[in-house]
Amino acid sequence: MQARDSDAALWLAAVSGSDSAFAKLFDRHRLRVFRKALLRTENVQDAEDVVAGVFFEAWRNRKKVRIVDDSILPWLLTVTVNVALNLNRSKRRYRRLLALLPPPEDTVEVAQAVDGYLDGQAVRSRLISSLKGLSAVDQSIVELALVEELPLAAVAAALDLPIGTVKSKLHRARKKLQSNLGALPESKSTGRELNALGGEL
Amino acid sequence: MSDTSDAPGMDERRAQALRSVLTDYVRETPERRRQVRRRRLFLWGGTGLVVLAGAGVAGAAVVQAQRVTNATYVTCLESDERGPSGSYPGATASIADNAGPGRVDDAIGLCSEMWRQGVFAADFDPLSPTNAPAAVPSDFQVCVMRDGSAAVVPSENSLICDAIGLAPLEP
Repeated sequence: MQARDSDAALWLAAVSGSDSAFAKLFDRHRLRVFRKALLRTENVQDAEDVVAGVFFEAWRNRKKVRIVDDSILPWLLTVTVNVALNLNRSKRRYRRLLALLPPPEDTVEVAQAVDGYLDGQAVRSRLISSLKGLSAVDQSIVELALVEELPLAAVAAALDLPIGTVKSKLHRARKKLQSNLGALPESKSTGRELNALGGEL
Repeated sequence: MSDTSDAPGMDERRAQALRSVLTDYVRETPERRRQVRRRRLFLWGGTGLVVLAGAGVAGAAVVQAQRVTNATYVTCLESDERGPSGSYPGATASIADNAGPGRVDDAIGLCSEMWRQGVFAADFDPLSPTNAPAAVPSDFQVCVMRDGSAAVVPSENSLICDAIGLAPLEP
């Protein structure tokens, strides 16, 4: 039985006409989506635009949304990757709505916090930069399976792919990443970690 | 999933603005507008049923006490007087789940909640998610409509059911 405030229940309420249920889902997941977007874009304003795009896309594609293990997050993270990859298109599509948002405050504190965060996330950030040679679907598989550490069954469900396809794509993506990561220059302390991650791949 | 609890978050001011834009976006979709129109029709239809049921029992001066036999909905009357046409002005609250009979037993609680949510206030906007809470009458009486459903009347008068042509609830 689903709890009243589970993602599945809230999503059902949202598509049945409850905008407050949709707002609750936004409140619940916006931070995770933002952080994922920040790793992708390395820019706060772009990351915020990605968050907006993800939730606009969620509503636009509401009939295609997939709830995995009672959570909408895997699907949102998949869309985050796609929106970040096509940020300009997303900005054009939702230009009218994005124009309603107040301009960002460009404070030193925020910039420092973001820089610190991105430095701390260097391993993930470099992994993500090395993903760019992969297809969008392969990127989503690697993001969900290796970065977000979701079970393969959940990844398959979120992407609506057979689990065998996910396994084979992940295997091929791993091989590509191993060669890409090996070719990346080592920098500061993160290089060792990155190589370790490359070894794990 | 990976934990990124040390990461910065969105600018709260922009996040709240985005939240507001999103809810407007959801509300403005044509599909959602159709749902709201259907809901309005349903509410007006419910009011019409109340009017018809009221007209049906008009003229009966004293009615025997009855039990609630129709647990599918409760009628919350907004006044202890009938309308000029003999109708019972108010709103119906449908019960659609297994907990229905239990909630009918607590018909007063259900109607109190509707009063609290401002459903009977003059400035109530059925489309607004932020209607101001309203005062709840200090006392209610439960009567029985002709179709066996419960009717909750805002009144301190224990004989109000007879006075407005409804059956009192069987003790």
